Amino acid sequence: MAKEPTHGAPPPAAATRDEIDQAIEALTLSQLVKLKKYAAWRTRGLGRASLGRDAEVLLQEALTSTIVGAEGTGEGRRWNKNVDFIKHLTEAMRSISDHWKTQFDEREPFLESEVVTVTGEGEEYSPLAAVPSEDPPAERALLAKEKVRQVFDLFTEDNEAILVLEGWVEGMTGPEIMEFGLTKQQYEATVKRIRYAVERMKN
Amino acid sequence: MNNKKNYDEQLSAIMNRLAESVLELSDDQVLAEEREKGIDPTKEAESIRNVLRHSSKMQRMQKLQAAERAYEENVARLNKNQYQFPDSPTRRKQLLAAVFAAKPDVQSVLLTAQHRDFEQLTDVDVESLLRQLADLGILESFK
Repeated sequence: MAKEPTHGAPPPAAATRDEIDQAIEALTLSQLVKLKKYAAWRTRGLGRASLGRDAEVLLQEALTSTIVGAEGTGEGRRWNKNVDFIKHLTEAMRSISDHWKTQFDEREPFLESEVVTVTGEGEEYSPLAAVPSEDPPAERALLAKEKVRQVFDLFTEDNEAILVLEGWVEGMTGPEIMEFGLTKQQYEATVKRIRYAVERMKN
Repeated sequence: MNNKKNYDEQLSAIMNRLAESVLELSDDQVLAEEREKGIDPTKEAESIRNVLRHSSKMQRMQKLQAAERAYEENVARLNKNQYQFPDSPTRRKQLLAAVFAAKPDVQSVLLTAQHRDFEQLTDVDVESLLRQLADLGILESFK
């Protein structure tokens, strides 16, 4: 008799609540530092959409969601034990921070009073009036523009850093950027320079 | 720098790529970078572990608190409902005995390990059990 075909892979091994606690205790020093740094960069990438939430809040949210996922209610994010715990948490943070940003883009009413200025004649003037409706809120765009300019200004004498930053902004991968004349070592050294310099930059 | 994407997206792209770059570092590189900045990675790591431990603990507490609230609400609801039970403790206990005799499965569910012996039940226990039975509609057929 022919074997019956198996339908898909066996269900992933979802971690229990206690296994999550054990995984926290098993995280190494470098893994813990990576989690914090990853969370910090992701929240910086949110700009105003962070709404004051910092790296710790993002990390806590990822863990809480994982714990809820272990309760089997269909809510939260289940940790499949076949996946590294750190990989699971970073993916959760990526997803949560993307969600925060989308939520902010969709829901936050723009506070016009924040940008209304008064002319010399005493008349109120809102720069929003000139902003097309599909643009992100004007003030947020201005803040983001200023921050992007600050990042690029850190590297006016560093062509490799400018190349990497341009590549990132264009959505290019590391290997794609390297095709413009950077070796792997040069690329990695440049990324490190950017990381150090931007980290020192005022948030 | 061209401006095909808006500045908000450009800022996110840079910061998110920096986030990913951290994951690509070896364990030694991550720790070395922290030390280069004058940060003690051991202290830093333990403080992050404590954040995770705290979150885990808070989540457990919330679950316990929710269970406690549900229990208290249930007790309050049972106490609020008005039922007509026999006047004397003896007759109330007789009623409970009659229910348990007719429905032994109910008895096994309601009598906890603590009160496994029917004769040991106090008057308060008896009234509490009758309230639970009444709330479940089980006493209807014993009136």
